[in-house]
Amino acid sequence: MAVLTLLGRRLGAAVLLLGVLSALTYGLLLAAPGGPEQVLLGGRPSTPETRAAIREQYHLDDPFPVRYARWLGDALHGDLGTSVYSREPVVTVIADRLPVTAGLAAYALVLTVVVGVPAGLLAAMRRGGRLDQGITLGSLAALSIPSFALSILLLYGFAVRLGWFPVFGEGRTLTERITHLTLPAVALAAAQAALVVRQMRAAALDLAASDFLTFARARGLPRRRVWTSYALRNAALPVLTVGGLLLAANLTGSVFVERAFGLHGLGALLIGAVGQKDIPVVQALVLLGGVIVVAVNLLIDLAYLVVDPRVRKGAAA
Amino acid sequence: MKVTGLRVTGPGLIVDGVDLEVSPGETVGLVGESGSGKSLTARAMAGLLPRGLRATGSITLGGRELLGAGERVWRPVRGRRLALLMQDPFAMLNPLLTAGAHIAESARSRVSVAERLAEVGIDDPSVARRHPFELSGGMRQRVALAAALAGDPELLIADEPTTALDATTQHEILQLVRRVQRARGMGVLLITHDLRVAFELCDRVAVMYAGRIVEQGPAAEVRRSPAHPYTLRLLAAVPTVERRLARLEGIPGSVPAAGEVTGGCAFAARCEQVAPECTQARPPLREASPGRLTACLTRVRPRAAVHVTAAPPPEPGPPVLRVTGLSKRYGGHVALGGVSLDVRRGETVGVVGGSGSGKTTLARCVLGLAVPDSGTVELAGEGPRHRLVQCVFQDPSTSLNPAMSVGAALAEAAAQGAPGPRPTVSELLEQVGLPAAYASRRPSALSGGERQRVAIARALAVRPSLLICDEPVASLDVSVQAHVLELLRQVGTAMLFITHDLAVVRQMADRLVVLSRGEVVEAGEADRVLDAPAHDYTRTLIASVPGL
Repeated sequence: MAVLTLLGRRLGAAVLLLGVLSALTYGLLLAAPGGPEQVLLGGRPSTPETRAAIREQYHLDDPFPVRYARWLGDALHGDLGTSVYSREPVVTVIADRLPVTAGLAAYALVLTVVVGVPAGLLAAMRRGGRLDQGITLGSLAALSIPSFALSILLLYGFAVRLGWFPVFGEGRTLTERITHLTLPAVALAAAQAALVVRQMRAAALDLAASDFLTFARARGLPRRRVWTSYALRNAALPVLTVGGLLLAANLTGSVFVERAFGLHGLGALLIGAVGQKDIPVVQALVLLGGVIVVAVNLLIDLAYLVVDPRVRKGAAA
Repeated sequence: MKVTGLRVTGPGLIVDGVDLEVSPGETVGLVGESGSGKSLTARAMAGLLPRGLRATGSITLGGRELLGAGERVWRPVRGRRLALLMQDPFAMLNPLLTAGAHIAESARSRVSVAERLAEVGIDDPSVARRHPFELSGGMRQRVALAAALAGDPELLIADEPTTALDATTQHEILQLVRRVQRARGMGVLLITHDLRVAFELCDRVAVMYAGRIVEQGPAAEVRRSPAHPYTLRLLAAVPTVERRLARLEGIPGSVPAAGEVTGGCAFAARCEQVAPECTQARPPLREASPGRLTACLTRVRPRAAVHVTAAPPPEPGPPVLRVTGLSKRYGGHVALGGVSLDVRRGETVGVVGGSGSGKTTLARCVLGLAVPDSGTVELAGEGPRHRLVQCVFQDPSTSLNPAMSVGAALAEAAAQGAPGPRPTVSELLEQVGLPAAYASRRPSALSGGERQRVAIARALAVRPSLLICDEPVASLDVSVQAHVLELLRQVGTAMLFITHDLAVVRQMADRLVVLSRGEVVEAGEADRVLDAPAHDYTRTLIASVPGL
C-alpha cells in the first residue's frame, strides 16, 4: 500500500514535469523568428490569403491557453502535427526513425554493463596490481576520446581496413541490424563503460573494506556467494542509477555517432529538423526526450524498490 | 587453537610475537587498549587480515598449520571450525539480506532458522523475515551470533562484540555468549578493551600491550594480584560504579608503536617501577607461578593507596539551566515526553539511560540544535545561546575539523565569545593540560585523548556557563578516560553529563536523572540513586554494569 502511495507520488511528479516541458515546447513555435505562420509555411512564398488560411487552420488567433490545450489534446491522441519539410505526420516520421536509435541505445547499454561492471569489479579485486592499473588507464583513455573521433577510428580500422563490419546504413534483418549497429554501439558505449568501470571500482573498494563482507568470509561462505549476493548486489545500487541515466542519454544523445555511421536515427532526424526549421518535428523530439528521461527515472525508482529492501520497507515507515 | 610467535607486519610492526592457546570449552580474554594489536591478532587467527598486512609465526587448529595456507584450506575451516564475530552490529550484516537468509546461508546442518534464532534468545520467528535495518543493535548482534554459530564451530572469536551496544544490551549479549559457550562446550576467544568484561566472562585472560602479551593467567588471579605493572595501572584506571573515587588515575603517556620498543619492555616509558635492565633487552614472558605468565622482570609492587580527601561538593549556586516539560516527537516516535530538570552553578548533573532513552535529543534541544515541540529551556545569562552553553561530543576524531590546526580551531571558537578579554590559545591549551606547542598541530597528529582535550578546550573557549558532555569518554581507552574525566572534574563549569556508563557517571555527577523512553523515571542525589535505586529500570541498569 505504502509502495503504491510512493509510486503515485512519483507518477504525479512525472506528469507535472512533462506538463511544464510541453508548455515550454509549445512556446517554441511562438518564439520562432518570422512568427508561427512563417514557420508553418516552411519558407514558401506567402500571400496575405495563405497566411490567413494558415492562421485559420492552426487556430492561431485563439488565446494561448486555448491553443496550447488544443495542441496538447492532439498530442495526447498521438497527433503531433505535420512535418513542414516532408508533409508527413510527425508521428510517422519519428516512428520510422525510432527503432534504429532504440536498438543502438539498448545495444550500447548492454555493452556498457557487460564490460563495465566486471571490469570495475576486477580492478577493485586486484587493487594496485597490473590489471587494475591497465583497467584504470584504459577507462581514462576511453573517457577522453570523443565519440565521433572514436567512430572514425573504428570505421577505418574495422570497416575499411579489416572489412569486418559494414561502413554505413542500418540493415534490414535482425542479424544485419546487429552487425550494422556493432561499431556505432561500441563508439557510444566506450566512454559510458569507462564511467561505469570507475563507479563500480569505487563501490567495490568500499565494499571490500566493509565488515559484512569480512563477516561473510569469516563464515566460510563459498566465493561465488560472497561475490554475487554480497559484493555484486550491493555495488549494483549506485550503478543502477548511472545505468538508467546512460540509457536516457543514449536515446536522445547519439547524434554524433549516428552522423558518423550514416544511421537514420533520431539524432540524424533532429539535426535535419533544426537545419530545416521543421518546428513541429523539433517539438516532438524535445517532448519525446523529456518523456524518455522521466520514464527512465521512474523505472530506476521501481528498480530500487525491487532491489533494496530499505527503500521498499522505508516507504512503509 | 594454538598461536605461536605470531607477528603481523604492515607498514610497520604491529603484532610482535604473540603466543596464545584456546582449548575446547574454555573462554579466553584478550584484553588491550586501542593500538595494542588485539583485533589484528583476531583477524590473523581467522586468516582475514586486511590487505597489505602479513602474518608470520604459526597458527594451528587441531594440530593443523593454517598460517600461510591458501583460501582453499581456510574456507572449510571458517564457519565450521572457527567463527569470527565482529564489533559493529550495524555494519556486520548484509543490508540486502534478511536475518533468516544470513543464518540459512551459513548453515551446514539441518537445523531450522527458527531453532537457531531461539538459541540466541530470539523467540519471535518473524525476525527471520526482517532486514537488518529493521532490527536494533542488540538484535542484530544476536542474529550475527546465530549466523556465526550456524556452521557449529569449535571456536568462536568475538572481537569486541558488545562495544557498540549500551550497557543493558551489552550485559545481555555477554550472558548469551556465556550460555551458548557452555551449552555447546566450544572455545571462545573474547577480544575486548574492557577488563571488567573480560573478568566477568573469561576463565583465562591475556593482556596485550604494544603488540605483545605482557601478562596471562586465570581471570580471578589476574584480577586479584596483577603480575605486570601495566595490568595494575589499567585496573586502577577503570572507574567503579560502587563509590566515587577522590582521584581518577590514568596512565601517563600513550601506547607506543610495537616497532619502536622491540629492544626492551614496551611499558618501560610509562612504568613507575622501571629499572635500568627493563630497557636493555626485551623481557621474556616468564612463568611467575604455575599458570601465570608475566613479561615483567620484577615483582609488581602494589601501589600505595592514594590518600586524597575528596573536596567537599561546592555549594550549589543559582540555576544555570532550567528545563520544564520538554517534549519532542519524530514522526510517531516520542523522543522526549515532558522532561524537566535543572542544573545549578558549579554542579554536575548526570543524565543516564540506554539507547533510545532521549538523552541525545535532550542535549540537542538544550543546545538549540533541535526545536522542542513543547516545553521551555531557560539558560541563565545574557547573549546568544552559543555563549551560554557548549558541548563536548563523543568522538573527537569527527568533532574536530581535520583541515584546521588546533590553534586555529581554538582561536576561532574564542572569537565567538562575549566581547572583552578573551582567553588566548595557549591559556586554553594550558587549561586542558596540553603543551602550548600543540597549537600548530592538526587533529590527525594527536592521540584520541589529546583530541578530546582539544574539544574540551574549544567548548570552554567562550567561557560558557553550562557545558554539555555527550558521552565524552565513550570512545576513549580506559587509561585515557581517567585523565579526561579528572580534567572535566577540575573545570568547575556546571555540566550536564550524558552517558550510558554508570561507573563513569558515579565518578562525575552530583545529581542524577535517569531517562527511559523519553521520560524521567528517577532523579536525585547521585549517591542516593546509585546506592538505593527506587525504580526498576535504574536497578536493571545497575545490575548490568560488569563488576570489578
